Amino acid sequence: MKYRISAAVLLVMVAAFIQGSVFEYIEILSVRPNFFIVITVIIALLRGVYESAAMGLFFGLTMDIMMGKTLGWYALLLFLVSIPISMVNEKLYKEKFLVLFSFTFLSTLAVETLFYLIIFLFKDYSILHHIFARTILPEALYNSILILPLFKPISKVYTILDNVDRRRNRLSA
Amino acid sequence: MKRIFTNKIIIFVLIVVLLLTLAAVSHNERSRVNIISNIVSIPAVPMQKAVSFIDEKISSFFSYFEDVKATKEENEQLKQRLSELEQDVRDIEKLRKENRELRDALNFKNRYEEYDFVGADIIAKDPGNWFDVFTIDRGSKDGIEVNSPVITAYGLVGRVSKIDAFTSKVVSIIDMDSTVSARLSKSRDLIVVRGDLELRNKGQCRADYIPPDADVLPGDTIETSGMGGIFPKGIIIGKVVKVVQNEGQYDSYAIIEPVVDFKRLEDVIVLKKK
Repeated sequence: MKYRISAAVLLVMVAAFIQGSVFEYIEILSVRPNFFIVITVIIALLRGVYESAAMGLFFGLTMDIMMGKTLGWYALLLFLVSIPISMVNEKLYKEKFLVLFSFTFLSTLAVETLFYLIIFLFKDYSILHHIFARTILPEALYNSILILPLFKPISKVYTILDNVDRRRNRLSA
Repeated sequence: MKRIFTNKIIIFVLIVVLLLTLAAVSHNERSRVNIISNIVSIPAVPMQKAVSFIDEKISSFFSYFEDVKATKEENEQLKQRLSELEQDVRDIEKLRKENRELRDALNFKNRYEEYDFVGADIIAKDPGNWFDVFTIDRGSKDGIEVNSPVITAYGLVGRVSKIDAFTSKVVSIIDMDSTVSARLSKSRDLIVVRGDLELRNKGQCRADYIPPDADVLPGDTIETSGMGGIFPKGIIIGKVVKVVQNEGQYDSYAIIEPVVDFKRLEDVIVLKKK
């Protein structure tokens, strides 16, 4: 359990570092990918409901803190998006390109569109189509491509953690 | 089994309600609940400083070669221009310029004498695609307060929106949540400068409520009005790029090019009240 918590904290810190610093350099047309959404989808595809929801919540909260605005919106959205994915993940061929691509694409569309609707509540929705075409859609595409090289290494890390847990359980038994 | 299912739903609803409450409470920039951001910001400071340092070194290394070429070309142009100007420039012009600069400097000092200047480095920029907020390496321990104005030698950058122990968040003037009471330097008409999501990517913002009789043209300067109690009067914001008539409305708006280049901003000055 200790390993799991340390790994989770490390993953949150690495994600924060990548999102805040590294991704600034890979912006295309002033749009950068959202590593927190990508990693939430990966974990939701690999793990159970509780772990995925908890990780989604922490990733979202970290994103909220880093943005320096209202706390809780990304936390809520990533928490909510991780639950349905983790509920169906056992029925999916997780390593298939189409599964990874479509889940990330749809999750990004859902999270970012809802985020836009929330932050623009009582303001102005007249530029929704513009924002959708210029920001949300490119980000969804960007995230969907980004998940492809990231899924296998992260899944390997979780396999190692599972093996460590199993070995420790055997020893203690 | 039924109990576990019920518990799961209770946990789910509880978390959702908690997050909604957190969002409602933290919406106020001065809310004490924002203290939880220290959990991330304090451990992140050394990492962000290291990244910012490496980034600066790499950028300056590559820009050195570009600069040499550009400087050579510029030098040639300047030499030519200088010889032309030498004939035109009169001593009186020089004296007038000097006089104006000295008067401006004196005004600047007097205008901001109620503030202390705190230099700060930008250690992280906004992580998403929605806002234009950045993190500086000064926090409550340096006496920074919420709404402290942030400037550079060129003009207005924004204001401090949240403070942690060692860092602060600065909302720039091109952020969609930013509004600044301003005036047109030439005509002295009052306007409101605010961020716009569409213009943000170009590093621009807009000026609203320009009266129909206002004499405003591209190239005109816009400065803070001093109203609203956050920004002192007379800080340069930017120049008008384009004036657009609001369809079916009385007033017009203008697109503003800030004097500060937000893409290349590395350090700022925070005005701290004495």
